[in-house]
Amino acid sequence: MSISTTISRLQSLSLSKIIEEFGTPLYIYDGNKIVSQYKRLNDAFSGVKLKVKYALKACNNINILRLLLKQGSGLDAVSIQEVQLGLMAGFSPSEILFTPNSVAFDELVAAVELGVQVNIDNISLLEQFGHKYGSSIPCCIRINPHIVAGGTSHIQTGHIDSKFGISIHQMRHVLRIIEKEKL
Amino acid sequence: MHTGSDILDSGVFVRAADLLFDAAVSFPDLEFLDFGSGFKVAYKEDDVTTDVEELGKVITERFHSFCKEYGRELELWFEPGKFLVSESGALLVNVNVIKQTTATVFAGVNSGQNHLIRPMFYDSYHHIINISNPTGTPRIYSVVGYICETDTFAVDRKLNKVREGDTLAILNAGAYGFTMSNNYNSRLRPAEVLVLDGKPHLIRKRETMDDITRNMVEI
Repeated sequence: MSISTTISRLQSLSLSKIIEEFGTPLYIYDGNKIVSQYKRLNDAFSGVKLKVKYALKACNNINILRLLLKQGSGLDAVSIQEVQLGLMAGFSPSEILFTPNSVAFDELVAAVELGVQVNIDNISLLEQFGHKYGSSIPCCIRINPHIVAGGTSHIQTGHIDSKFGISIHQMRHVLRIIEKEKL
Repeated sequence: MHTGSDILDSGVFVRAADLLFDAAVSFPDLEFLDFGSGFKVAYKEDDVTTDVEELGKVITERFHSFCKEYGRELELWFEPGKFLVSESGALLVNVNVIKQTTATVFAGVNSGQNHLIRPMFYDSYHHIINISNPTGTPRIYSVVGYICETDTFAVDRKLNKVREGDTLAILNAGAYGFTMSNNYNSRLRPAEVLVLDGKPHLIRKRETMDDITRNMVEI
């Protein structure tokens, strides 16, 4: 959507009445726009079995989570608190993917105990996960393919020295851990 | 898979997907492939955005041929944040003061980096409109917040003539707006309103002084 469409959509929301009622500074969200973006993504990928996991770090209000839950979305959570918020909103644990970075192993254990899916982005944690759970709990790994994308240098997180993800060049190491730990 | 936010075009995405497909064949028990996210939305009028329909076509085709080779149909996952909520949101602020210096006209508003940090933290462009004076003659302003710190929302921005008391809307505030807000300068966080089918609902109360002192322990 272009900025001019965003502006006319915004102007259709009777902003002056909203300001009069709620005051400023104020965050307003157009729920219908959120729903239409969700549908747009689903339609674009209607040819595959698509699962959208909304990254709630973008906007965590429980009502927005519920709005997306109603559309059939899952959640991508990056902290145990985001996991808890998702559960409070009514998402089933299996619909929540937990993708933290630089967390203590205890936080992964807490997530497993809540029944959410765990996405591991560090070889050290993958080893610890293997020691504790073996093949009893499935987990995902977050691979960094080192494709540098991103609007500003601050959010370019795919580079070789990024703290995010397990490097795609370390797949052999990952496979050895999987074999040894029967992950 | 992790790439980074704001993937511009389907070409970059396809390159990343191909790398993921290559890695995935070594894992026999997969249920899904998660492509992360990074779909780009418009912050400026001439911004290039991700054509998700085009991306859908290209990735669907590649994904099907991968699944065929893999031997099973897998699920395809995305983790969008910005794509779903960025354009839906705006931060509405009031103009407290107009200040003219030798080279700049400042519009000082009742918000700041404590409420929306992206312009200061990432140097992000957020489009701003003057909703109180939509037909006013455009003038050039620097829009700044009330925080005692670098606190600039926009430099040399053309806005319909801004008067003290006008309300400005800072666009694309739906993603990484409220969630990155804080209480610097002991300021209160704003309220949140969700508009559904034309009806506004208060979904977060404005903070009060109690929220600032709640966890302070007096000794």
